[in-house]
Amino acid sequence: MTTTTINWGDLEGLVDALRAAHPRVDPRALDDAELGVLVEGLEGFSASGPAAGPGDYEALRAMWHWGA
Amino acid sequence: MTAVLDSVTSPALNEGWIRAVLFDHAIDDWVDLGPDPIRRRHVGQIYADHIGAAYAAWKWLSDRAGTDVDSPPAAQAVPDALALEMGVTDWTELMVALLTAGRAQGLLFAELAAGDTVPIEDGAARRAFDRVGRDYAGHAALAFLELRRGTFVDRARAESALQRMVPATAALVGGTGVDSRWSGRLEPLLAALGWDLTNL
Repeated sequence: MTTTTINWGDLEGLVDALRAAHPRVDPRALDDAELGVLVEGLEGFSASGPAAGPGDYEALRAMWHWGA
Repeated sequence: MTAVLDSVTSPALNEGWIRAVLFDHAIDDWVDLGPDPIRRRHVGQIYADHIGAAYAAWKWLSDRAGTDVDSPPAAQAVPDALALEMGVTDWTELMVALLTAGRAQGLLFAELAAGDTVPIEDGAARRAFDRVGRDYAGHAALAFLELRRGTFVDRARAESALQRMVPATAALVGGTGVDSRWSGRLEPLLAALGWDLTNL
């Protein structure tokens, strides 16, 4: 069995996982800390990957909401 | 109607801006600014959100004054930041305006929704402005992403626009109580893009 891991180096992967796990959440209503909690709670999220860089939370918020 | 408005309400519900957006069609040209189909769809949504915000603001003021929501407010000056925002001429300028002035408006609307500075009557302010605050926060996030990707923005034009928008927006939020939240949020995002808020 293969376990797929995702981390902050793959924003598109994070957005896909967040949408699947939290389809009713409005990311515009969440601050960075709240977004971070959702990311860390994702199945397959690897905290050993790259840390969130400056602006990553804002980019994630935009990609999640706008499908951009 | 603006005779008794506090430091948050006055800039958030500026009647010059309401008139310009809602009655004088000052942002009609935004719809042409999208450089490709998906971004024209985005800007169409952003345009609709601004019309919705202006209507919410005008209805909230009109309901409290007992006046007709269909009658436009008198012509009056618009704060520089909002005039610059309405007058953007390309995608780069629009993104800078949403990142700066739009973010400030979002914070002002969110403050009204939270009811920190105005009395809430049966949740009226929350109902009127909670979604508007989130809409503008979403615009600002998209603007950051577009500036970070750089595909459809010109960095030199963005910097030039920031040099106009940042001081104008700082003046808009000055004394409102959201000014430190605005600059505190904007500074690390600009730094991530290679700009220094204090040097703009």
